[in-house]
Amino acid sequence: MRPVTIERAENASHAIDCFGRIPETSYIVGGTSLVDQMKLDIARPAHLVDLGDLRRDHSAIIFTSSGLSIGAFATMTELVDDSEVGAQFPVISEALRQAASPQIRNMASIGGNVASADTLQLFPRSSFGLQQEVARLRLRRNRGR
Amino acid sequence: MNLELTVNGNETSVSIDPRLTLLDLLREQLNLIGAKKGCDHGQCGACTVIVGGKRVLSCLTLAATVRAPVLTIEGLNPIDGPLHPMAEAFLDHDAYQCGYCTPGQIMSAVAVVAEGNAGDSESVRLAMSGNLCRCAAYPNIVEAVLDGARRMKGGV
Repeated sequence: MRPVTIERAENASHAIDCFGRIPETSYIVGGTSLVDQMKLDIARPAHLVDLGDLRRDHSAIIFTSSGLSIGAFATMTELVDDSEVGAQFPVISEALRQAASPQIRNMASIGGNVASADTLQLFPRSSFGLQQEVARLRLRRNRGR
Repeated sequence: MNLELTVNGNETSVSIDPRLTLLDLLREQLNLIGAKKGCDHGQCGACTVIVGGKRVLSCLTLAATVRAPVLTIEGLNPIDGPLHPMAEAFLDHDAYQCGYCTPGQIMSAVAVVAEGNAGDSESVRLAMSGNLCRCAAYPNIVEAVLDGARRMKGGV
């Protein structure tokens, strides 16, 4: 693995400040894709901004009038274990339960799934982390399932 | 960089390279060689440890990102204490052949009990699917997890 520096972001605005101050910066939360890509020399960040301290405030899974709002730092396990999500959005629970392994689901964040450049994942790189609103998945409620 | 963390109940301060994984920190600097390096890519589960009450893969965890207390197989089975009930169950059910994956299997099994997924063999097989055994001792591992769960009676 190439040399890298790391710092912990204290909050969302600090995280934004950190990003871009040093070229080739990556955010890291679960790290399940990024660390492996770094070992394989596919990802080559020079600097990591550890967002772990943002988990506490940005991992809520909330039902809104228009659907479901998932905090970017919710883990795959937290989403699988949410019984209300299982009842109203069974496709999410069933898909996640078949993804990766229990250990990886304990680590990986939903936001990381969206923002990661992992070629095995379907979502494109997004502006995840730049602002709280963007860092939420908005899913339309589907009553007919 | 300096890192302070708690491993098996002991607060420790270490000087690390930011690239260091939790697995390499445990094995190379803290001399806790129970967690094993199998694939080193998050596929085999041999490096499974419990961080903040959740089982994770120490090979994909950068040590610098660890905030919560770490529990390894050594912490589960202190050298001067009795074997953990789950480790006893693995012995009694011959739930291994070469033993390389066993520390990861036991750490996962203890977490599976805490997660409430050790009630029947189908649940155990699903919940233990992140831990590979190249000797294919799976039938005995499933029996050991079910029995270990009964011996633990819900606690750790």
